Formats: sequence, C-alpha cells, structure tokens
Amino acid sequence: MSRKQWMVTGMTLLLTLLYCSLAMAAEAKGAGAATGASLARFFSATVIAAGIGIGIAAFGTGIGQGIAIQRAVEGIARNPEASGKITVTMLIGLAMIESLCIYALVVALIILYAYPMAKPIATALGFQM
Amino acid sequence: MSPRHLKVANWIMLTALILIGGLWQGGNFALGILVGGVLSAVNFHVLAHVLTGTLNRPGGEVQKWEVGSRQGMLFLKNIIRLTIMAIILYLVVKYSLVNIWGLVVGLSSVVLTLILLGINEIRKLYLKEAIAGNGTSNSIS
Repeated sequence: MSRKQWMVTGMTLLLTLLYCSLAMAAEAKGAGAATGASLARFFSATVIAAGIGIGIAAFGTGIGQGIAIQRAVEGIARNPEASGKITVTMLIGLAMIESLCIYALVVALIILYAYPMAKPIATALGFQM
Repeated sequence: MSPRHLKVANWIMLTALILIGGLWQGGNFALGILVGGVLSAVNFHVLAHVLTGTLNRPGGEVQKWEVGSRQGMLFLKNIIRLTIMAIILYLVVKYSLVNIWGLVVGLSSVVLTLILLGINEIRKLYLKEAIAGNGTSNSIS
C-alpha cells in the first residue's frame, strides 16, 4: 500500500468516526421513550462484544504461541543440549501468553452471564430495578 | 530456574493469595481465588507436562508418520486441556458459584508468580554484576 492509499484510508476512517456520533445522537432523539428497544440493543451488543473480544484474543494468542514454539523448536534443533533451558523459558512465555486469552474468556463469560453493567444502564434508561 | 521450582513457587503464591484474600474480603472471595488458582496451576502443569514430553523425547531415527502422530497428539491434548478449562470457567461464571473477582485474582496467580520470579532473577543478575564489578577476580589474601 502506498502512502497516498494509507492517507485516504485513514481520512475515511476519521470521517466515519466523526459522523458516527451525529448518527447516534439522531437515533437517540428519534427513539425517545423506546427504552425497551435500547435495552434489547444493549444485550445484543454484549453478545457481539463477547464474541469479537474472545475472537481477537484467540487470534493474538495463536500467533504469539505459534511464533514462540517455532523459535523454541528451531533453537532445540540447532542446539539439542540446551533443550532444557529453552523449554523452561518457552513454558514461561506460553503461560504468560495463554493467561491473556484466559482473561479474555473470563471477561467474555462475565459479559455474557453476569451482566455487570446491566443495572446501571437500566437505571440510566429509567427502569426501576 | 527449573519447572519444579516454578511449581513450588506457584503453590506458595496461591496459598498466600488465598490467605490475604480470605482475611481481606471473606470466604467466598478466598474460594474464588482457590478455584481460579487451582485451575490456572493445573493448566500450567498439564501444559508443561505435554510440552516437555513432546519436545524432550530421545532423538535418533524418527519416521515421518511418527512426527505426524506426535503433532496430532500435541494438538489433541491442547484442545482437550483448553476445552475442560473453558467448560469449568463457564459453569463457575454462569451459576456464580464463587466470587468472580476472586476467580480473576486466582487465575492471575501463575502470572504473578512468573513476574515475581523474573524480578528475582534480574535482582540476582544485578547483584552478581555488582559483586563482580566491586573487586578483582583474584583473591587478595
């Protein structure tokens, strides 16, 4: 991609983000008292957010662990005597990388089943809980 | 630092976290730390066992089909490990069996142990350099 193409893509994204707030404001005004619809949208958004979140986390973890294991196996193949040290270092790295994905899974499960933000949002929308 | 050293340090850290959490927030929080810590520790132990078993096998002539079977077994064991972990976490979070924040702290126990051991190793390295830079390598007396 050339510099010009990067610039055009960046500017388009920026403009989209700028108009996004206007579109949301107009929608909110139009919705008026339809708070039920807002709540339904909130719960739909939580499901989408959980799915996208764990997807991104798994993608990053997969790439990270793949690279770590590739380099470790290459190292062991070059120098088999150092396999013990390489394996321990790789294990530490893998545990650190994998914990990130586990955190993402827990956050996704919390978003899906514990609904920590449901009460404040419902109260803000005028529901008595 | 050996895997055994790591495992012992991890259990000590988990015990300390359970005690601190129990005194600070109560029994349910401590139970959350216990469940999260045991899950994360068992996950780490199985990961270590599977990887060391696969990578540190004796060399020699290895058939092509054997390489494929080893890769398949590694993949299968990893998938089984992660599936069991996900099912347990799902049940714990869905039915609110323990305190969720305690669970998160417990799941962090392995990472906390690794960070502390890393800091300790760096400290040792600096201390060694400081001692080496302090005098000569030959004894004075």
